[in-house]
Amino acid sequence: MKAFFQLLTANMKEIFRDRMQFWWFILFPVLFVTGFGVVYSSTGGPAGEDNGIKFEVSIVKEGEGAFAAAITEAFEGVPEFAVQTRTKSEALQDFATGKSGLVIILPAELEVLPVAADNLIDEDRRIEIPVYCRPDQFFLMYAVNKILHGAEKEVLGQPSVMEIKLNTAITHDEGAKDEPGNKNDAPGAGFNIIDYILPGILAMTLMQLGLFGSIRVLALRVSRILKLLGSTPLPRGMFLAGEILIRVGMSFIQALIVIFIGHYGFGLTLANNWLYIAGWVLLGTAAFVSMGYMFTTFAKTIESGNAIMQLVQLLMMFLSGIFMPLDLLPGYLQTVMRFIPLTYLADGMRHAIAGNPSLYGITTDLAVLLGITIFCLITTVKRFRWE
Amino acid sequence: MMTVIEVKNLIKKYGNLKAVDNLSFSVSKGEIFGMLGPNGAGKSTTFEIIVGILRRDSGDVKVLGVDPEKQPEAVKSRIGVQLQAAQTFRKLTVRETLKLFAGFYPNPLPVDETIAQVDLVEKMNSRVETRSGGQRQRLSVAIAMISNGEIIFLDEPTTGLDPQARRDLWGSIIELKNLGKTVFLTTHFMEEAQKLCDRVAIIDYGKIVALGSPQELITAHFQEMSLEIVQPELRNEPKLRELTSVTEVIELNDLTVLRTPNLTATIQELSALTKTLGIKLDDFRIRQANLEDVFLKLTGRRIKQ
Repeated sequence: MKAFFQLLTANMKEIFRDRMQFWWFILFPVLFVTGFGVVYSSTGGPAGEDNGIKFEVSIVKEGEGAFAAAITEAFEGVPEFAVQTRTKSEALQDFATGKSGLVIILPAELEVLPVAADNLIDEDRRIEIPVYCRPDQFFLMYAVNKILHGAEKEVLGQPSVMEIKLNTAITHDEGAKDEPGNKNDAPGAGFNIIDYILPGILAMTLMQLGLFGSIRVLALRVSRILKLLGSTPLPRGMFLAGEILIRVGMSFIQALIVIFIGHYGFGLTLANNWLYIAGWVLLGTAAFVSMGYMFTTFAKTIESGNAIMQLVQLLMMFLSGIFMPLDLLPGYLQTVMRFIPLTYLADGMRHAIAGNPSLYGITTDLAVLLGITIFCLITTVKRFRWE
Repeated sequence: MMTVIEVKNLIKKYGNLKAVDNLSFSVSKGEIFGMLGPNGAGKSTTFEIIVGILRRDSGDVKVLGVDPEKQPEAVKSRIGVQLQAAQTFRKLTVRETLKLFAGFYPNPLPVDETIAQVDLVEKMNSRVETRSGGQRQRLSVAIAMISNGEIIFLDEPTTGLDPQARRDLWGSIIELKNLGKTVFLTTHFMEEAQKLCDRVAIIDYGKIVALGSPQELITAHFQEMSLEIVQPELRNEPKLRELTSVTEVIELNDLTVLRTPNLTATIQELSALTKTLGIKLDDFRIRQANLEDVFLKLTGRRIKQ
């Protein structure tokens, strides 16, 4: 045990005495969270603050009832939305000519549904909600999604019979279930694009820390330090355990930085307790650290290791939907996204930190991340070479 | 004499290449045993198999009575190892490094004592990355020493050291022997093997070409002296081969070596020859055979080209 702590201390000294590495480790999350925070708060704006930007929303009510009223009220409650109730033909014509950027059609059958406390809802029934959104306003879909499902929850008191159809009939995941205790789903709470973006940024920093942190093991192998350690009685697993423990510690520090700046600087919602958030950070770290280690087993030099990591991280960054909700992208990209691990960590993070409804279901997120961790660990153990 | 290392019919292949080709030897307790050979001869491969960090293809290896492949931990806690070209953590100080490694062994030497032994006291609080190649090399030898192991394994311990530092380190290695430790080392420095080792295995292309004490090897292969001619005018001179007292002429890159059991006769013949050729004989030296010559004789090549 003593040897383990000595090794741990030595490793920490090794990492933190490298000034470049240390500052990068601190600055990286700071830069990202501030950069994205500034960019997105100027387009979306924090909840409840009128920053002068208005988006036109046309609501078409094909029937009158509790539902349409709740939804309209919810949209009107968001300062950034200028809500108009219109006929379908008018609204669609304006949308076609580009006058209106967002049209939401509430079908009459929505109101036929039994109201709250009546539990006789047909679980298999799905009602399509056609939504027309101009591509340059796609980020609004995040809010639309949240408001519609929030209103539905308020009226029905239980999950989802709505299916949002965006242009090309994109199906919303049925697995998406609202977790109890997420107060943020109430209609009228407004939307906050920050709540979408920043948890994704945290997921991204965890991914980068995991992937690029593992380069260190590669460097230790190339410089034959691993081999030298292998010639001592130190159990090899102990060395790896120490490395992983340090990565986990670093992940927590970066998560704290992102959440702190996000919350106090940009109004990031904190919907869950710290322990729950920490659990997700831990899982994300486990998945991407083991993935990083797995990739290092395919690299012979530090240069080739870096190249692999760069490629992987770029692909994941842009194909994971951390910058844009999945619903809003073309169908084939959505299919690709479903195979990108970061997609699920970002989804889980949005749920864990900001209390957003999960897009794929918490169980799916957990299963994917755990699956990746186990798969990568097994592959790493099988392929790992000390020299 | 108690045998502490026993290697029998050891084979290690890399693809089609036999890096270690049927090696057998044993090392007794308390001796300094050296493997001498050029780079790529299979020394390091053999070394790494013995210390338990490389798998063998076939053959038997026993270190302190234990197979290092089957029970690596049992072996590793009783030996100290310095690896060729292995770095240590760059950001740690010399002292921190030794303290770290001391922590891995059940019964290590005191850190400060070891630092003094390799003459790094003044540098002990500076980071490894700021130290010269020679100082790092001494640190890596100190890592092997601090284990307080029964056998100290050193792979090319004096590479990168200047002549003075090399001699100092030889002193430390002889001290290890005086403490009753066994030392197993590899080297491609003939002088090192000759001055330091009780017994030497000369190795080439994965095979042992000679095994014994340096003096035994020299007298077994040479009753003769070497006369080395440096003058370029005599390079590849066919008449050198006609000198009656010379048993062998070897042309090397920068000199010509004449082997002779009768040095006086050879010098007389040589001076007569140069007179007839109209050359002034002024640049030659006389040398007793050494391990380099043994290697040369056995393999036709020099250890260091």
